[in-house]
Amino acid sequence: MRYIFLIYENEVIAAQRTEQEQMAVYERYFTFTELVRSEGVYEAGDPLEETATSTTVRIREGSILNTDGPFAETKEQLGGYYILDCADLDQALAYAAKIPTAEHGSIEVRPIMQLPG
Amino acid sequence: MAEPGKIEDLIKSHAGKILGYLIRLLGNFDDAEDLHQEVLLKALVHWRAQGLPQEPLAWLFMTAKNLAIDHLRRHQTAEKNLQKLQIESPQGDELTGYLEDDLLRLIFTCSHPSLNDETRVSLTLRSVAGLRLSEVANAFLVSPSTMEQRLVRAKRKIKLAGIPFEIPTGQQIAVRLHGVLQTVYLLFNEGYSASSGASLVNVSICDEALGLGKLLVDLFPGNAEVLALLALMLLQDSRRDARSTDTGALVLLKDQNRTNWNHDQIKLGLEILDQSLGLKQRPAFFQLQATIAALHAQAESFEKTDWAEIGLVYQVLLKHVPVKSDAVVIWLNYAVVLAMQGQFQEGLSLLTELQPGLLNYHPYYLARAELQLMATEAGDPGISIDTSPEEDLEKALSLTRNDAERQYLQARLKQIRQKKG
Repeated sequence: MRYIFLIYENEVIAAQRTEQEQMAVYERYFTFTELVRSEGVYEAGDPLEETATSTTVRIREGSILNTDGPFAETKEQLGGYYILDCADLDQALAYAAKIPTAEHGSIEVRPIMQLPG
Repeated sequence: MAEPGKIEDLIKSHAGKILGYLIRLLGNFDDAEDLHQEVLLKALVHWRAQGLPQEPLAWLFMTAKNLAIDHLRRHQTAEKNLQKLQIESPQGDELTGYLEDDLLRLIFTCSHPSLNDETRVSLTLRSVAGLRLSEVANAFLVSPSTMEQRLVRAKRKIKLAGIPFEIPTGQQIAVRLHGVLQTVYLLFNEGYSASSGASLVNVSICDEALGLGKLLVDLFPGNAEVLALLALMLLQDSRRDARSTDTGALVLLKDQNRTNWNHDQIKLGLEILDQSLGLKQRPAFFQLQATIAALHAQAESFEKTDWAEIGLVYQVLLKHVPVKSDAVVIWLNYAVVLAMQGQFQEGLSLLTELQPGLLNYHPYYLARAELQLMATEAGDPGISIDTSPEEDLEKALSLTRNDAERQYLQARLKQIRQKKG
């Protein structure tokens, strides 16, 4: 089963990391990515730029409205994702617990809908 | 002809095993439940007419297996896979162990951490304990259609999220077993302090929880936490009759007539707790809770309770749940225990600290009212609380949905007002 792992953390706090601390985080993500690749479950995964760089699009009454920033104010922001092909939810949850951000942020594990055909 | 009641009890006692087996064979809850109903109905009809078979479990197993094979054939399962299923025909003791594994799969699935508390308890009652839909709905005072929707959503989540129908292995097993024990304890508490309704205790729900507790002891022999949960429930449940008046009002622990406690059950609970402690495993959540319950059960009177010892066990227990928001109710109890040792200031200031997490929890306001009254009576001003004991009791009254508790709170409020004149 394919799952998406949505990685949330407080980006204000994350931005306060020193360069050295940030390198250590990258290092741990690199190790995790190596692990899921070597176990043959990896499909995709990327970090995202901060939410200040995002634009939200909505069409209302036929007009396109582009607004600055993410959709909602939340304590934690989406900061990256993985897509892994796991045997079942237990395996997926075990991987989620190994994503470095799980230690201070949160990882949402969602099954990817299987479209017919 | 066998007695109808006995047949139904027997069928219910095996229901979880057969359902578990069918889910494993068919790979989904919905088809398995349909066939399960068919098996149980066949058993009911045949056994009523012809009496009990020599080995009822084997009879249910064979019937389930044959129905499952028919079902799989109709759904064009490859002959090769079918043969694999047909080979397995365990007999006698082997069969019991074989089906117990399926029951365990079912138990762990129903308590999977990705399901919420309400769902876990409902699913466990329905699937593992084999209650009818209407009985599960009654337990939670919702309509059968509401309960059905809840169960449908749960099964949908199990399927779509890929919750495995497996017994967890390795390091996972201890964590997951704790989740199962929590489900059973949640169920027990729902029965023991019915969150709404006319009477304080929902006896049949308590009995179901005790039954599941015993089942888990059979399935996990030599597990200290499993034994401790059973001991805890037996000790709490021993006070069942003393906890309400003839008119159904709540009686608090301090006012209970201890001769009305079920002393045989206390003895049994203490024996099981001794067995658990005798295993010398590291003290964990349910063992500590059961130890506290045992200290209460052994006390001659409320005043003669060993509050100092209870306070110490609470301190160890609270180390197991370091996050305050996860354990606010345990912290609340600890605040009362502090007051019982004369530490009113500590108790009341802990209550103040806990308030944000317990804003709508009526026992909080009852505890705060009583602690304030105790502090005043003992001549200890405690810390100043913004609301008076009467206001706290009124707040509790506005929050409870249980008639027995409402009766108690009204009487207590009247008593305090009369005292003040």
